[in-house]
Amino acid sequence: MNKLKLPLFITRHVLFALVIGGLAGMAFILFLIEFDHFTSTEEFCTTCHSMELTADPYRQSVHYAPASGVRASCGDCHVSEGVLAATWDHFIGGKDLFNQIFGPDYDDPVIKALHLPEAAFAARRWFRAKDSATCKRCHVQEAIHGTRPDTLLIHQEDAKGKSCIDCHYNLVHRRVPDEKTFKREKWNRMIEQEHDLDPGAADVLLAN
Amino acid sequence: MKLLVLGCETMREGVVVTAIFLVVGIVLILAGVKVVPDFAYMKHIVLLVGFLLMLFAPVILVSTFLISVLPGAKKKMDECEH
Repeated sequence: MNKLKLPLFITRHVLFALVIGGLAGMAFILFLIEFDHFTSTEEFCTTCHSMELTADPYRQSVHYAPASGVRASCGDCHVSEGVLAATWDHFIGGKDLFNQIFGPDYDDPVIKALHLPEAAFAARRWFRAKDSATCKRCHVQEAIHGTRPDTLLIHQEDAKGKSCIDCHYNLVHRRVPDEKTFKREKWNRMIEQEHDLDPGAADVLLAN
Repeated sequence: MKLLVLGCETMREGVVVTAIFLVVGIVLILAGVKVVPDFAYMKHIVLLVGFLLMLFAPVILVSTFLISVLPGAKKKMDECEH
């Protein structure tokens, strides 16, 4: 009976390296998956006080407490699917930690509200660039019938060439106008009224 | 450019640094999740450093490998004693 022979280049060292390398590769991927999973949870995201301010409106939204009981967590909407894409998102997201530590005091509700529009616009651009891929994790366009008679038609005809985020924004977090119609001046005055600030205080806070 | 001159030592260093980065990265992530208190962003910093170390581990290994297959370097590597 012929014995199975290994190719000559597979020496004891090569076998050893393959086994160790394989195990290290498995550990790498497993830890990456666990890391992505852990850092996508609401529990982790809200460890920064500023994120609590973002999470409050989310907890009143239908994405947090829908009748069906299907809850979308932070990562479900804001982190791409797949370990490599999710890892990339977290790598890029590292800049938020830098801004949180060295940037303006986002823990202050006024500062947070003043900077919110830019954050909202950036998030909407991200959704648009991804063709609302994270929305489509749960929502299937062809299956949206709705309760109104025109819902089906809108999602079949009017939605052609559009992404979910083009129509469906301001669903979860504090309402921010569309980037095209946004007026910084009006927004600042609104925040001043909301927090009983002197006129012009918002501009000073924003400039600092 | 001197960094790109690959010898037997450099190859070994690449593998050792990769292993160290991977192990330290995993330990830091575990520490960030389980041990480090949520004080002065320590938890986040430890997690980020661990994450970056873990990400750079395969990058270093792949870069070392790619440099080692360059025609000149490959000839040098063949002369290494294993």
